[in-house]
Amino acid sequence: MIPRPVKRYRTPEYPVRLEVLADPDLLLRNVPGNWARNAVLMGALSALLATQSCRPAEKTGGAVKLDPAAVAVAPVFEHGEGRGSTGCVAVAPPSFLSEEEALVVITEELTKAGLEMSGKNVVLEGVVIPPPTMRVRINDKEEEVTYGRPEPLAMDLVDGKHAIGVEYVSMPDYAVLGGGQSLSSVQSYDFRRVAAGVAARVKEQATGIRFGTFYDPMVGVGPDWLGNAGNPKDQMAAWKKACDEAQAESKRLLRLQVKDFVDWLKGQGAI
Amino acid sequence: MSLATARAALQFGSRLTEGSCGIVFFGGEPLLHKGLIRDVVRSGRDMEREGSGRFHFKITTNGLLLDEEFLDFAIREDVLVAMSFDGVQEAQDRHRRTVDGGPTYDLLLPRLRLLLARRPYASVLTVVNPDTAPFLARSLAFLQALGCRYLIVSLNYAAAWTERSLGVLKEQLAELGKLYVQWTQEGRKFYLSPFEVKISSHVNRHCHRKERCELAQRQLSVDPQGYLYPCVQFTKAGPDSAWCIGDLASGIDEAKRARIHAESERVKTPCADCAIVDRCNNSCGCLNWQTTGSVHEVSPVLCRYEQMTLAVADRIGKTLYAKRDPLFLHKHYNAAYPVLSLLEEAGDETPQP
Repeated sequence: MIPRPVKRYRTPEYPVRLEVLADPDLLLRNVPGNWARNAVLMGALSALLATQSCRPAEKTGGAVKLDPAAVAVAPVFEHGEGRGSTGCVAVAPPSFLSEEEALVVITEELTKAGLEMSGKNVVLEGVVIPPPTMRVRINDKEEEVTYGRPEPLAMDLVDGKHAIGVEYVSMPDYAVLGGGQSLSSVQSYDFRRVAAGVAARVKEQATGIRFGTFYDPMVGVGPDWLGNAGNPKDQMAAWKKACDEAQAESKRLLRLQVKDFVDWLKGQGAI
Repeated sequence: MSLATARAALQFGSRLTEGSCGIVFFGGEPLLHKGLIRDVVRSGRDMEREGSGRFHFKITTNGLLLDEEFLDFAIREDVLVAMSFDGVQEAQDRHRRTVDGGPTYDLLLPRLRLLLARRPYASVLTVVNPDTAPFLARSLAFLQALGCRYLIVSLNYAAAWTERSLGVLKEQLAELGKLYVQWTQEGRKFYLSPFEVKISSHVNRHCHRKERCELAQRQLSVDPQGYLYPCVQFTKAGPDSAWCIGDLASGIDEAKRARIHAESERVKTPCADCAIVDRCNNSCGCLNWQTTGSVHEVSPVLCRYEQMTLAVADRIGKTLYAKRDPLFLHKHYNAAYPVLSLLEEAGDETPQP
């Protein structure tokens, strides 16, 4: 007996979740009998379904409607090097801007521009990110192996009303979005390159969305704090201060990326 | 395992996650060490009170040593207890024998009833062998009638399956698929693996893989000496094997862990062009290792079983969606279904099985 791959498999004749959630009334129309007789349960059902709905909102009158068959992808606006390394030979350790912190900055700026980025982790239909690779030694031979599988791109934030989505390339995203993974103690990062790769893939594969990609500016923590060598408490405080300054600078640079994106959207007539 | 090692494992686990760390007691038969389990659970709860960790505990038992006293403890300390039971007498007594070779159906059925009376949501695990395959549908119907709501069917992949026995299995899975449809239409609430997982692999195709076990990534197994492995099956390979990825004292060897994970995630040669690869369980590294000796080689029996279950699951999905069956729709498409279902039962004095 040997494994026998399936050559063709018919698409199942029942929908995927996103298709059903685009019509939440389907779930409200078809309720188990016991639930329909329970007012509390029906109230909870309506409220909970509202949080899951991904039905596209109506377009606003003022905005230029995007052709559903078209896609508009902003260039990656360069503010911040977005490059560096961690590990034994890295002398200036980088400061990463977490996904949560970055999304706060991005949301603030886009909200100021009149967008409502209420969609979180929304899958962008048709866009597939290839599986990440790494070089490993297997049986004394170095091989490039893929780990994981091709995954759909889930946009960090989406304004459904304006069909605008954005993705922030953070450190945990790095390998998954095509940055590569090192197995040695040194990991190098080039966030700008990865962000550009994501933008190119969206341009190639998506439709019906205006899309922006931002990246971690990856501001380095300079060596100045080492001047406080001596008292460990002072050294710790100097280190923390240097990290805070690097974080603040990262946020400033990210804000500039988002502002450029807003200008681009205005130029597009999208907002 | 000594209590000191078990406590070290708790401390180690608590540092791996900010959330609740799941501790599963494996054997052999874990209830042979009830005293140790009690001490470990109490240690975990003490750590929680001190704010140095959060835990949830689970045991899978063959039921022989399950009693009121232990269930009192499990309920008091919120320990989930799952029980292995293969269904009707012909199936149960075929492989689940006492040490002296005696049958266990009559011995264990009262224990299963006791468990369900105290823990109505307890999982029941059924293992299918070539010679018990003919009883599969009848066994699951029996367990459902008994009140089991969480039914987990596993195949003994290492058994001597033949084309003939696989044919019987296919017929039985088709029968089970009909029962799934019937039970759903009757409004019965249940979880029946593997069909639920297979339906989910289509319904949630965008994020299905996030739910999967990733070898050496989400779980670790600790052997009695405190050595760490990527999954429970690998503990038997021993600390000198390539599968040992560290120990409680010195921690995880990250390079080893990454290598094992990368190896298990390599695209399996015969699967690269398979049309159902994204919905298949071929990525279970420990299962592959158990059956083929390699984490990235797939057992032909697993390949056949996956194809059979997928076909039945999609038939179930098609049938129930075409009928717009409310229970099916909410169970599979409404992420809030577990909460709503609990709310329903909380307000229902006579919860249905």
